[in-house]
Amino acid sequence: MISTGEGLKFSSLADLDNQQAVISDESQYGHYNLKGLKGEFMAMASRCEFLARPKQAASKAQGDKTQGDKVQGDKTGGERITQAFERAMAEVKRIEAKYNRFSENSVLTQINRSAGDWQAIDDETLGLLKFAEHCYRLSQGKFDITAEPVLALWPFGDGESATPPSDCQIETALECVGFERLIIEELRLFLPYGMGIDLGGIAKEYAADRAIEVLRRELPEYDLLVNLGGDMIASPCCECPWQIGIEDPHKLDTPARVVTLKSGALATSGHSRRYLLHQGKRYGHIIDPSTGYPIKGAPLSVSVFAPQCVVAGMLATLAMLQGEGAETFLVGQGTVHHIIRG
Amino acid sequence: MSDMKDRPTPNQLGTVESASLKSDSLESESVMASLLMASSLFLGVGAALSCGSALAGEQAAETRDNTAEQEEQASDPLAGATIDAALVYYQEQDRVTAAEGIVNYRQALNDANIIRGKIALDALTGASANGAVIQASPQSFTRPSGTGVYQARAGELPLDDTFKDTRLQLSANWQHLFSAKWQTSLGGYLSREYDYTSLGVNAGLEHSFNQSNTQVFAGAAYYFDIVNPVGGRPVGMSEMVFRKDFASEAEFRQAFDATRYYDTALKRTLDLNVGITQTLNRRWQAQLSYGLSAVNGYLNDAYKVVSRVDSRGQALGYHYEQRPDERLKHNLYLMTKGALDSGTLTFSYRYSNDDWSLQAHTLDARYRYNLSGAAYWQWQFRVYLQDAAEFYHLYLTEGEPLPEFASADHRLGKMQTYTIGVKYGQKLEQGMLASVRLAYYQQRPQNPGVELPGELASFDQFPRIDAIVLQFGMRF
Repeated sequence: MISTGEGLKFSSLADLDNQQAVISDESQYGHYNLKGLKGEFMAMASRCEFLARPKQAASKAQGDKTQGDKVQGDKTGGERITQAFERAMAEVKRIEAKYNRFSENSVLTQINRSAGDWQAIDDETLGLLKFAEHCYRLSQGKFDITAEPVLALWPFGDGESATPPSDCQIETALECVGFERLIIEELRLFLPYGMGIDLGGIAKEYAADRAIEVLRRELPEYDLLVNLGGDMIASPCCECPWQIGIEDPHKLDTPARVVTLKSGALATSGHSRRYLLHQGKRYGHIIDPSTGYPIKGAPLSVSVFAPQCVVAGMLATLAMLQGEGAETFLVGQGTVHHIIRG
Repeated sequence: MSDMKDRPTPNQLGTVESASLKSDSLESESVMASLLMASSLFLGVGAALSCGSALAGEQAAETRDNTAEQEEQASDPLAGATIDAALVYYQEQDRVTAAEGIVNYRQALNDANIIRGKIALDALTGASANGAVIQASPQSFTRPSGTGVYQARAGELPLDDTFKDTRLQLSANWQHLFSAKWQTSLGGYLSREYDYTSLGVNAGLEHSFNQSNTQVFAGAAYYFDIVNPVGGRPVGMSEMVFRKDFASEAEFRQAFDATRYYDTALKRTLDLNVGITQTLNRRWQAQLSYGLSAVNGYLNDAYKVVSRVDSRGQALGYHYEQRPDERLKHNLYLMTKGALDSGTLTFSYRYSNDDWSLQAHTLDARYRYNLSGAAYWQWQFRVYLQDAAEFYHLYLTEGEPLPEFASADHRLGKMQTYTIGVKYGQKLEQGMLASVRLAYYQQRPQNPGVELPGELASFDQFPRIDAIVLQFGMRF
């Protein structure tokens, strides 16, 4: 295991890939060290990893070309992967730094501080806001990046028997919620006074999509996987599918369900908090920002496959917001998905 | 818009699903497609889309999760190029056989621009009714070219057996999205067959509002057609001449030429269309549209005749048909589409009326049942009812003055048609989608209340047509 700056840890993929590492064909031996690399780091409060594995065709070609010279070939390959991983990690960290609501210096904090006035926004922020607006409309107000004031009223983190907010509190909080009150124009935004934006529901998936782009550009001859705390995306048309374990949140002792990803993204929406019990009444953990109250029958977790991570993540979130209708919604979308209910 | 176009293709017989642009955009109204479109606006490059369509199929097999394929459009407009190829075989019992090959190409150039192209080649052979009534004795007709005759046996519907044509159709369309709310399209159309050339342009504008729950659209299309029938255009209402009635070929030619115009005829069509699509709730969507079509120029069918009969019902002669040179059509279209747990249900109704007093009602119901993420069945039932045009004449009566306009073309007569179809679609490896469709089509011409004098009553002057459509499709 090697370690480079900024906490990016590398390990050989051969370790992970035991079945394939058992080599029966002598001629493949030369490629053993080319099985690939894994890079791990922490970002966005999650364990993140990048995986790269040479495509069979590419490694064969390289093998033929560099016969008797494979050590050098491996070394340059390894260096290229290291460099690509570092660039992709930098991109993830850049997005994290820019859109972290809790960081003093983030662009998002600046935006939230400037509420009440017109302010300039860059292309990237505009793109994310436009996407959020689209999702707000699609969900008829259930997905709302301005919902934080009303979400914060529900004390799910404080144990299961906390008191739910009063109607009055909810009403007051709702006055500061509602995406439709934002005015988004070309490169400027009007955020009404008292309101705030939280891009937590999009940024991680967006970072995954950006990271895979960086990796694809730098390592076109590799099968690639980006996994940011469970939101993941593979490079298109991987030769060999990536095996991914999905943990069932309430069966942590049983082995994770394994799914395979050969291309596209898999994202999961789920919460460790399950419900809030108050005076015998059970409140669900997913709050509808348009009403301020929990949605009935929301699943514990929803995983969805889609071509892009932001799309997979949003479909999972939208499904969650459908409550009892989550399955119907996803079936209607023709997605491949997995839903866990409590 | 182009899908309203009244072109004599197998499609127009109501048997073959036309891949119209409008229905295309409706089908892809899925949240998935919508999100992909929105995300592409800020993700820039096509990201992992290049084999996105392969994704669903492969994952489905491996996770064995409950999945359902919403529509074939699971591969969204941005998933690079989509190619649809279809082979259609249409067979009428004892009459026309048509084979058509269609290739549809669709490519998203970037977030805001989509181009589409279509090439269709069809070949028609067989015999089609020439409009003359059935007689108790054999009948002969001068061929449209003036050379030779074709015959109808006693008691059989006269068919012109020279019906043979190959047609090439090309169309291209460019769709531009100004924003999530405004989009436009521009297109061109060209079709060429032996005796007919058609050129067209079309443009459309669509606006979404009410949180994208409502779309209003407007479109216009203009077609310029050039008609060059085999053997010239018959002079309307002129009587068919026969070689046997003339002593020499030259005399016959002179008489035949007197029934013909040899110049080129033109036909111009302007179609206007406005409509609204509304999402009713999470599962249902409805569309209402109104179309106006103004046509002028040469609207006759050069190969159709009307029999002139006496009081015993015996044909004394045949007159080439004559239709008005203008036609103004209105149509109203209502469609609703619902996503059920098991599939999709679509109902549509179209009412059309024109100043030829030809009224028609079309009811269409489709149910698509998803077997799994990788396969579906689609059932279709369609009914079409039409009243006769005001100048429809099964025959002309001897001794009465010739009317200004007359046609015995059963397509302008009173009729009912029924279509029952089933289609099976199966996703293959690498995201390909194969489909096969079988439909049974029945056309029942009706007597619009015409008396049948003498021998005409001895025969079924309104024989029905049965046809089978077989279609193979492949999407790449």
